[in-house]
Amino acid sequence: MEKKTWIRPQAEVQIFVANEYVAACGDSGTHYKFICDAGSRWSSYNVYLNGPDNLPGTSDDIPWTKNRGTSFSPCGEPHEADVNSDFQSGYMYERGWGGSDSGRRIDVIVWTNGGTNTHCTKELDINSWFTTRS
Amino acid sequence: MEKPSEISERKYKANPNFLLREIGGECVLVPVGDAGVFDNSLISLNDSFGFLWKFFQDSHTVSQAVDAVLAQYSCSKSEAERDIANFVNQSLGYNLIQEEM
Repeated sequence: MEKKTWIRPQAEVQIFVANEYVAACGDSGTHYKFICDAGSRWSSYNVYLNGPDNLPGTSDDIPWTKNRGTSFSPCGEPHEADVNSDFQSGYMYERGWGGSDSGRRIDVIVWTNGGTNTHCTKELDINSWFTTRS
Repeated sequence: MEKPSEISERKYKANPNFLLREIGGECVLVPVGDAGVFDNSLISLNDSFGFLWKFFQDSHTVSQAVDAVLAQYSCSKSEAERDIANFVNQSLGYNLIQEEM
């Protein structure tokens, strides 16, 4: 049998370094998935945003839909929004006679989609929402 | 530093935290488990290193490794003894192989 040529044993180490722009995603690119399902599709609601004190029913609350001249009805559709989107705690009342608040207060989380729309969900524990990463 | 004749009768075995794989015709050690300084790395081996790695998958002495090399490779006994002793000493230092008690 022909013998192979002996070369002293050598090893080359290739070290992999994490690309911080890829590995360190953090929350950037994480999306919340939620359903706009607060209230009844056959009713319309006045939506308020909790003010700086983050308490419902206080004087610093913002009449969100009234200020926009609109009302809210749940679309029932799922939405995805970046975790850094404008999610705010708020509440809503069913619109009664003349557009006044009626019935009991319904606490919700409001997503305004950059101030362009109103979507409300009853699931108040944002940490329980499904997330996806982009 | 130990002389080859002092370590020739001790038994050594390859660290099971490194797996030998052939990738693209090249022998590569892939660290698994506790790989110490070799975490997040691959170790490419030349033919001689790969031969010794496979040989030390079972517990062997340096003397036995020298005999195995001389049976497969064209080299002098002194050259094989020197290179294998260096291989063992350096591999011990990096915990690539371990001395069997």
